[in-house]
Amino acid sequence: MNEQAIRTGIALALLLAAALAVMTYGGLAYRRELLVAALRALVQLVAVALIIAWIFTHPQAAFLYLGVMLVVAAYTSNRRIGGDSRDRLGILLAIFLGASATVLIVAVTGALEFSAQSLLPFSAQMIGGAMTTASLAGVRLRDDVKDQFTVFEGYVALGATYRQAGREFSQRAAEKSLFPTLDQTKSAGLVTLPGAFVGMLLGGASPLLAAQIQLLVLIGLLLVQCITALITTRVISPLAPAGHGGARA
Amino acid sequence: MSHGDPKVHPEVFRLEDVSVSYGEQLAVQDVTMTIEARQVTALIGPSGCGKTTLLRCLNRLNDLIPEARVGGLVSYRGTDLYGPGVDPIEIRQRIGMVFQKPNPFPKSIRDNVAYGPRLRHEKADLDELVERCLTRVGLWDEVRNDLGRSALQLSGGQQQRLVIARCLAVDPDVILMDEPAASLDPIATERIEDLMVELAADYTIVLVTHNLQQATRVADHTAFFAAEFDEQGARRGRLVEHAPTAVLFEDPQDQRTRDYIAGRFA
Repeated sequence: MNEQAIRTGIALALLLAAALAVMTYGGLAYRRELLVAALRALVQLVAVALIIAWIFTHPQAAFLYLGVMLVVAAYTSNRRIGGDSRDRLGILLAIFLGASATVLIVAVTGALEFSAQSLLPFSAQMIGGAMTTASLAGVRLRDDVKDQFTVFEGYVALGATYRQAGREFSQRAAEKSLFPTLDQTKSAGLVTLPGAFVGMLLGGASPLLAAQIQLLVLIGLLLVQCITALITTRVISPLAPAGHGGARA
Repeated sequence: MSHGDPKVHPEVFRLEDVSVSYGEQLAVQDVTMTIEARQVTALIGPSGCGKTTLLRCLNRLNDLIPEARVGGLVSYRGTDLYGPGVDPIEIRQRIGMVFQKPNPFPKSIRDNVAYGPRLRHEKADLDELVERCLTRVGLWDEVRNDLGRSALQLSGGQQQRLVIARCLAVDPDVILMDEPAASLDPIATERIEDLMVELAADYTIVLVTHNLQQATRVADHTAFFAAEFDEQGARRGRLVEHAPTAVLFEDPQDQRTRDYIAGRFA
């Protein structure tokens, strides 16, 4: 183990111990969760680092990695929404189309080098953003339908299918799911320094290059999320499956 | 109310031993009755007696509640509504519904009325249809210059008439009304009541109401439901008595009907 790794380990241990101490002092609950979350992050990130290091030497494996990521994202988002297997398939499609459209543009223009080293992390970030949006948009859609159930019933009572009735709610739900990213994009560099930017600075890149990459990520996420939100709110059922406090055909 | 001799009206609905339950909970038990064409039939009774539950069975809107189960026979013009091969979408286009709280869509007045026909991809002249339906509910003169305005800006009474117009636009056979005037002021209520009587010339209307005076004013037939409690204390609705409105109010056969009417009118 090199010296840098040891120093990092010491810093992490101190950070975690301090956080736990503060929680104890302040009487905050969820100390266990904090510890578990930190340990999970440690294991996951080290594992991912090892896998990605391997993929960089075996670039074909990148597709497999992204495929797995896509499936996990769809599962995670669908669980958040409380959907069934058909919803999950729709969400998978929404995430895939959103992320691949963006990656395609970035790759074809040559803005990022056509290599696993640059496209893999970018794609992963796009899939992650798409997952968040799919969850937000799906939860929003179902909440809106639940909150305005008499209006939903009005559509159904006129002979609309549940999906047709749901479509009347999907526009608004898709729009609302974009707010966090819009805010994040607007405030980039003012309120926070976004992740890729910080990472590249820490990694020794020039601030201008860091800004370039960060812009690709931010604007890329906007496209990803528009596509994913639109598709998600149209393909999933507007009603939770039986047993989740709703009904569906 | 003067729709002539009830005997000449063919039956639209026939209910035989209809029970509705939500999961383990029985909401309505063993209802047997017929509902005749082009008449207003009122369902009255105390809260929790299952009137609305029964009403929502008549256009399969209870399908929206996954735990809802309907037993017995609900026959609509000779078709078992819950039989195999029955398309609830088609049923709901034939059997419209007006809800207790006006539920206009967040769209323009015109688009509210045109929603149903557009669903069916009707190419006919929608402007003419919109005008006809709005005229029928007495709303045309109030909104003719404002068809593009959001329906949400209308008053409660106007919204409820718009909802009825929206329902007429798909050319239904039956209109179910679940306390359509419960949230309206007396003047708006009167307009809705007048409208019900007018519409009964062309449509079969089934009305749930808490307002006994309203039933006497608009209904040709009235069915009284009561809530009963079983040994475990669970409440369920039962049909007590169903008769021409004048008969039910002037000469009720069942003591429970007499008590309810006396109590509510006192």
